[in-house]
Amino acid sequence: VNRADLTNSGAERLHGDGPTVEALFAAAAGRLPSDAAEWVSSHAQGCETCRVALERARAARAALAAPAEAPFQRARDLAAVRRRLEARQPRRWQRWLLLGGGALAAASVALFVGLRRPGKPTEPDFAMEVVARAGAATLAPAGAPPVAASAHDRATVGSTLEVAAGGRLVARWGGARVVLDGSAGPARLRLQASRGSERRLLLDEGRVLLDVDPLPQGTTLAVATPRGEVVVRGTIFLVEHGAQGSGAAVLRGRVDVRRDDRTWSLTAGQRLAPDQSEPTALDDETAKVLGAVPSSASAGEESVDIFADVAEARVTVDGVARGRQPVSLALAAGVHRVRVEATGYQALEEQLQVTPGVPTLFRADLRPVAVAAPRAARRDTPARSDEPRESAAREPAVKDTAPRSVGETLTAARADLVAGRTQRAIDSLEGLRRRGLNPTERSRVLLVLGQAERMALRPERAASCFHEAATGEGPEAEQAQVLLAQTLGRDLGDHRRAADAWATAEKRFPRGVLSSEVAFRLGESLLAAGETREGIAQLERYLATHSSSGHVGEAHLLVGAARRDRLNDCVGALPHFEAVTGLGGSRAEAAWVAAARCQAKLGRAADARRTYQRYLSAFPDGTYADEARGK
Amino acid sequence: MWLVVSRDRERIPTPTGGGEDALASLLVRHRAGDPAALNALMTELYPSVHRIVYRLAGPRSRGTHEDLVQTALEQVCRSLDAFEGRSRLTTFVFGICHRVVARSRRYERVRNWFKLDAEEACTPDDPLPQPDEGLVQREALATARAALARLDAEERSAFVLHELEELPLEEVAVALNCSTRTVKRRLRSAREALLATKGAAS
Repeated sequence: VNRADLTNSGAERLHGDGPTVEALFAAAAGRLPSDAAEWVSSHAQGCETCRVALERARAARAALAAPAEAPFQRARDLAAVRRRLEARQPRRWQRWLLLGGGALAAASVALFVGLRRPGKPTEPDFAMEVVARAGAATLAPAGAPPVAASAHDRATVGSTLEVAAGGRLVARWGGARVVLDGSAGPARLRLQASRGSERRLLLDEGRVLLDVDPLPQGTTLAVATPRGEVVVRGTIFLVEHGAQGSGAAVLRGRVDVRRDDRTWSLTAGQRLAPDQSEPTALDDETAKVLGAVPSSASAGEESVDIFADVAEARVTVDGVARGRQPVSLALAAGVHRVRVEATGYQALEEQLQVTPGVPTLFRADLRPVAVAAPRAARRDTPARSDEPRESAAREPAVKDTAPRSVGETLTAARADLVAGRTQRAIDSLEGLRRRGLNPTERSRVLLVLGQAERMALRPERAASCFHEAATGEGPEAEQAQVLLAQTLGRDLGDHRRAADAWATAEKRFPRGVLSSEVAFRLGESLLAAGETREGIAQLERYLATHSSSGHVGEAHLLVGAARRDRLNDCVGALPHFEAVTGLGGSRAEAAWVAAARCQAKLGRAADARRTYQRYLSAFPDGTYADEARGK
Repeated sequence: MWLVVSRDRERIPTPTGGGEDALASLLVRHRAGDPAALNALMTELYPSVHRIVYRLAGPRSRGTHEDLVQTALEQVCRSLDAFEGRSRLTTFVFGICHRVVARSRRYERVRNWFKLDAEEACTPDDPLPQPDEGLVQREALATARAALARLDAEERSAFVLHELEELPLEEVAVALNCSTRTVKRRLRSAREALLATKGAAS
């Protein structure tokens, strides 16, 4: 390859004597021979056009880098494909008949419905998702009373988030991380707009920190306060509002601040304090606060629920106090140190491996200080040298092959799992399983073994371990039963077996820590398995007995949609859609429209008109505003 | 000509390292009635299908991506009997992935137009988690993703198969069921769009 090849006059190029466009892409891919690559590189250094083009070619390749497979995804996908292949395929003429019917129906819909709607593109709202909470924090959907916020709660447009003094709430908002920071006093914000092209927060009080990814052209992100507004492109910054007024500080990037009809442009390292009229350099304390925005909250985290058998137990994760149990967090993938302690009990500290796609339950069984000593001296500790000789002689094999206690072996196996030595962990746990263990120890070993099998992408084996552990008693059995149901549903996609497992969990542990979650998941799995009537009945029971839990809106919509779409029961669906309308946000918006359509279908045209009117008054620019006006 | 160099590029190895030969022998075993061969073939092809579907479809919700991967793999399995060996098996698979993704794009357009399902339209799925991105490259990546999103399905497939999967032009043409000349035109158009040089290139 010589220069003539690279600048071949027959190929497209950026300018007269530069490399061809193809050569630039080849250089970005590292496919050029070294001398050719060197020439392109040295040319690009002196030529702005080619340098930018080379960077763009590299960026295009980087943007197409496929993400790693999620855990169990391969097993789940292959199992799903096998099921699809086993299912009967319609014959060719049947497919054509279906297609013809579908086309006819589509044409009818286009004629009678589609043409009546203006073609204005609508932009759906997206929610702000709570990632973690420390201290007291609440989430109040529009028009609804506040409830305690926990990981994975979704704040829709109109919702209010509030943290008490000393509290902290981390949320993910599209490509931005939001921290509502109560370290300087209570803080409260409202979600005013959350669309692709416009995102807007209203900070009523306190301080909010944001880490915003670069925004595409034509989109805005703004934080307003009662006295001003901060508009941003892509940066890390904070906005504060208190009795002295509104202020802002920037750690990275640039923001435009408007306050009392004056506008400032703050760059990295500047702060506009509430009581000052000119920007100053960022002070150490504010820089430290801004530096605490979690950079990894956008991807790769997973939910971790930490429980303890002692109500007052305090939870610390990676040295950060997370309050009393139960604690619901979303932690970044990787290893975390969890410590659970309570007065009068031995503190428990363990390393916890968090893997994306694998929700984790951590259950701490704290031992009272008074009984800790005898339990610590159990038979599974290594024999002491001063033990009677016949005792040592009686169990030489056990001593040789299993020199460590059950607890030590479990700890070592967990360490192996953390280090990625999955098979080694499985081998040691299998060895442990064959030893004479008491039922509790056996359950604990099986729980870890099951998790290890999940990590090894062998969900069937994991399910078998959890199934065996679930036959025992106590908290281990409850945890195993829940993990069994999760594995069947999420990893294997077998909703029927998952529903059976959730049903068993509900029957065996009616007062368990996860009873509310179990009740909801049972209904959801039944619907997914095609058991419509049973699923609806279960979710309606759930709604009657857990009216304040986190899945209420979701359950109402599931029941409403199942009644309307599967049973053609608009009368039964209507109350469920109406129940969601009071919750606000995108679910409420969907529910208003669904309710109006149900009323129209039932021939209650006047009611449908009124519902559409109420929808329009609540969402004048809503997604279905045109449809509502047309009715 | 510079294009000669691109024809001589090395093949991307398949996960087991067995490459086309291993796939071909699995296909022979499958056709001979070995029930285990289809599973092995699916396992072997899975990483390629997972990757190529992501590259062709772009970031989607996890559920959508899984569905596309499963549909593509199902189509591959159902079409194995129709494979005549006129191209590499991986080229045949890439062609199926392209058609599955292109069809899904068409369905999406139709669904967006009708918007019949209120709940679905109102609750968009979370985007797939992106690979780790350095702060400095984020803006460039965002621009590149936007440019890639503007490519039509045919241009994007031609670019991905030739530039990323490193298929020669002739094999891209087979996979996309078009002529080599058409592939060249789509490649040129895709490159211009990605470099934002429309009108500037000679």
